[in-house]
Amino acid sequence: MIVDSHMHLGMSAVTPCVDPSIEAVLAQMDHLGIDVSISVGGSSQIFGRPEAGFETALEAYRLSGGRILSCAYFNPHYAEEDVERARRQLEHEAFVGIKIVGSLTECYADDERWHPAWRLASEWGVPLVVHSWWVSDYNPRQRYHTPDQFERYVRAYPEVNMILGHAGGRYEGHRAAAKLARSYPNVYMDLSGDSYSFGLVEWLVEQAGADRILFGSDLFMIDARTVMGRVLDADISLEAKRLILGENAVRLFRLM
Amino acid sequence: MMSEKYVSPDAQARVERLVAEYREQKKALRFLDSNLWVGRPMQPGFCLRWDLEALLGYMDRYAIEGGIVTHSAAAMEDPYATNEELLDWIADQERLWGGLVVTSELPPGYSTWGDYLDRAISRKARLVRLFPASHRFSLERWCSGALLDALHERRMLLAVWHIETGWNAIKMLCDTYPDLPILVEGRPQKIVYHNRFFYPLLERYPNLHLELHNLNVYLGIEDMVGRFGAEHLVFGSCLPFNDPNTAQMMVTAARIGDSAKRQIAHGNLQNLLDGVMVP
Repeated sequence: MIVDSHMHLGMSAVTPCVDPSIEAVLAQMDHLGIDVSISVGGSSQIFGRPEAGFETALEAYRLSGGRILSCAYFNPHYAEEDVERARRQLEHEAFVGIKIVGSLTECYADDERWHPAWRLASEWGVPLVVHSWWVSDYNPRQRYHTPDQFERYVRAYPEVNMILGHAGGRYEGHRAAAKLARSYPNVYMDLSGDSYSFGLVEWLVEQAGADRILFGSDLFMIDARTVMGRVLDADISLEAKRLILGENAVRLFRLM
Repeated sequence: MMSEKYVSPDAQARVERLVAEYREQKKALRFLDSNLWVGRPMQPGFCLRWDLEALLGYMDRYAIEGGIVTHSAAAMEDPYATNEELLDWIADQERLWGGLVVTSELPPGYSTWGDYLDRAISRKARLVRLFPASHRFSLERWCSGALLDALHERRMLLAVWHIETGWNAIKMLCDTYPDLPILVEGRPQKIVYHNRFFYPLLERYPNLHLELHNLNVYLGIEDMVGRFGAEHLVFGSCLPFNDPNTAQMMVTAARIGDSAKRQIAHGNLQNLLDGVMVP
């Protein structure tokens, strides 16, 4: 089974998208042999139309015959409202996790205001997918969620499995992500995004183990093929590839 | 809780088959790479070997038959000294051509750009990479006219990074030098947010090409080939900085015809190499 554990339904004004339709996502999944995709924050959820995002997620689930799943999205500035909505969402089998993003909400990952999301993940027994990156020259908002900032919550909620989206984003972020994963058994990393460093997949496996790494694309922005090829052709064992491409996601998101 | 439809009993065999098929597809497409690098970089990375022998080994491992290689120090140190070192290194390497870095200033000891470029071309140089922002010069004629005229006359490939030039300057180059093949590379920032700039340019300029290592737009290959034809897309990996599979699977698994795949994987770059005027 192959699971794209980090994609986004919809599109954004910032990122031109050739075809954001659910039908196009399904066609691409079929073409690449991806069995299940998990939308970790559809664009409507993230950018301020959460009820529309809820509807889109349900529509994707229905149209895909249950192959496109979603995460509830939590914005700490609307905590009460988003917790209530997340509860409604998690009651539906289309929702399998919770997503938080520090950059777009401009709230540091170790801020008090994230507690409700972690409590919710604990209460529902679902993974918490977080955006992670490193300090960037040209994108200063990435400073809100460097991997080290999550340690406070990882330690406080050992029962919550946290997935560091993009595995820290860039070289120093990858090092910090791997260090966190080595230190805490509830820390995982996904390969989504444009972290294309030569040797990265092999290095992460060596540092943290293949059972802590998930395949993800960052679609609608980034094409899944840029990540899938790197896993298929990596100098790691077939078993490691199997874990990364799907089995870790099956286990974490309880897809069976 | 999800149903058992998500569980595949033959997962190991399936992954094994996908790996084998992918590797076969890569071999069949005979990748020719416009964006190879050699020499120790300043920034850290997960790759630990940067010498020519290592690069040739990587090319074999990842099914890259040949390509254009640039010296990693050329954009920071003395470009002309490092260009010379590179051309020495590749002199006996049949699979490699040289990528030079130059500025708007004539190299020491040369009175014309033509003299410098002809000598470099005779030593297997085929591409020039410019960094106008970092190296603080303009691509306008008052500053770089002599260099660009000489490149134009020789049909030498001109590679630029979009963050170094901006798209208006790329348009100016396409307009002013219609026989100069221009190759835009997405380094160090991906070309995923820029469709609104380059789509109108691809529509107008046959001499504009996009290199693939960071051209990671979802469904982008299919859309661009459908709109503008496959001839604008050129395979490049940025090896050994980047994992070549990033760009390779965008081609092997593209939903385009086999002929278009071959063009992107090697044919377009081969044509551009063949078009360079060798003195």
